[in-house]
Amino acid sequence: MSGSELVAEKISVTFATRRHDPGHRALTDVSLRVGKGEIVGLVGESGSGKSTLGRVIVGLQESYTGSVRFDGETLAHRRTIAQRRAIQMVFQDPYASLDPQMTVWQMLEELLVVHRIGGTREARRERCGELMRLVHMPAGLLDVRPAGMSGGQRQRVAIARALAVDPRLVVADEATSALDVSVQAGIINLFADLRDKIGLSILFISHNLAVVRSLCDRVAVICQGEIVEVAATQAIFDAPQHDYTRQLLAAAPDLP
Amino acid sequence: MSEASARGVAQAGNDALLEIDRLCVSARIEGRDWQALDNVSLTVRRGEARGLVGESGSGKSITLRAAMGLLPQTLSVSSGGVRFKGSDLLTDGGKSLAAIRGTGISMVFQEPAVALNPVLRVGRQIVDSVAWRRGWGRKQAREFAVELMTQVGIRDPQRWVDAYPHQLSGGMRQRVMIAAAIACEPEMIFCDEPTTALDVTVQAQILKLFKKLQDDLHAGFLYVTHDLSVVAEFCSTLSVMYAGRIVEQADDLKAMIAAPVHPYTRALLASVPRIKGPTKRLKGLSSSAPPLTERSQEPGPSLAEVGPGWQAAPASKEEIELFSAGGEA
Repeated sequence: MSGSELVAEKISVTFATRRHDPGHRALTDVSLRVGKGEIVGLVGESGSGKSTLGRVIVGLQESYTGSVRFDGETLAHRRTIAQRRAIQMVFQDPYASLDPQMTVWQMLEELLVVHRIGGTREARRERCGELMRLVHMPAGLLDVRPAGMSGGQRQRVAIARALAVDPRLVVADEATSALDVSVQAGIINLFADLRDKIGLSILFISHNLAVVRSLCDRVAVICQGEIVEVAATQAIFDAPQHDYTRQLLAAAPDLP
Repeated sequence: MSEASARGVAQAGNDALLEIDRLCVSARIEGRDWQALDNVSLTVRRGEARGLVGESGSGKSITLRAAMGLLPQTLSVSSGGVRFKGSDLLTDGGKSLAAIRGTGISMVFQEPAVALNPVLRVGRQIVDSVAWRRGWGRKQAREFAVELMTQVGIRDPQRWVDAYPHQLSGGMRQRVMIAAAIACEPEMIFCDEPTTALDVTVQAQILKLFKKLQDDLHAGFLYVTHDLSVVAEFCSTLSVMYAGRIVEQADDLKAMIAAPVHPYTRALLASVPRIKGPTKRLKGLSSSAPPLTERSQEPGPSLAEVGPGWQAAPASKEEIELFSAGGEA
């Protein structure tokens, strides 16, 4: 597993409900780069288009204009299986994103089989054990269903599932927002470790400025479908250039 | 009273509005009673905003609901009391509770989309309780609704007073709920995660509105949330809960955040990411509160005074180990 460079250029997305409806523009000419082994934060409020951009990059939103390039290769709107494998996603709510009827092992093995990784059952089992170690989970939980785990453990499983197919980029959409603050801290540290240890690239989508500050190398601020500011994390927080960034910072609560 | 004060009942002066006194709540699970709240005591004075902070399963919402007589059927108060301006709320079968709901104490919930009635116009929901109490007609009630909507910062209230909740944005719905909560000029407002579902800019506006209400109405607030940063913005006093118990509370929030005594408070604060100051690696907790059926059924140790208006539970060796490990699991 090693990170790769993602370049999204001039992405526009319009959602129309009926024919001849001019539609709602969710994204307008948005460009964003995520470097190798880099964590880029994408910050904005509800309806800003941050999740739509994440879905375009992962390949869940197939109708868009503009281009998504990954390691120099332009990705088709409908991705090939190898392209899908390269970019994986972690969602906000592990209660909703994990199948309640499957054990962790079943969920992970299914992926390995679909993507033809691992060969024999024993090899797959071993690989799943490794994945659990990678997300700091006891291997004993492989045979447990989501109901038997805490919220933080479930999110770790969701991350393990994203990592199972050796992705080079992970898009995390509000991946810590549903968690308790102490559990959130553990997941933030896990993402930072994955960047440092296996050089994973991460697009970290969040509305929480403090979380973004503690994790990301660079930050893009998105407002009403347009990116208004991109800069190194420290620059964004110490010397915000755009009015909207300043507004967001002024509104964010903080400990004394 | 000596035993009571040893238990950590704040020494309430004459201005004590709400006193929760050694409140115990038990939960019935599979025919057995489990202790969900263990001797929770706290005081809110007039004009005071007290934050009640804890993680999922800490009992913070149960405390609020028990005080309001809104416990679900599986939970019941097993001992202890809740006094509002000196009179007990829980002993007369809900009569005094009914009398003070709305006028004495009102509540603002997390999800205005759920708490508001989807088939009633918002103006009517805001003033229903007042109109009923004061025997107002439709016109008078509507005028008052418009006035309240102005007060909570809804622009162009004439346009929205006849709207249904789904036509409003999340921030506006929360303002509507606050307008309904202050319609009868309550002396005390209970808040249960009122800004958690809102965007940060809207959250900042709502907190500003709460501050204004605190000044204008001189109301007391009991503010339940998991978000320590929000509490630090709005509240001046703080109680921290863990696994059904208060582990630390102080009349000076800033002092407590600067130098927390209980290892859990320390661990919780170390896990909060900051907007300002140096960025340190955050500290995760190795475990959040165990489920009810795995908790000790013995009453926990009494809170001890650690400073003026500041109490903390003595921490056992296991707790110190558990909370200072900073585990990553």
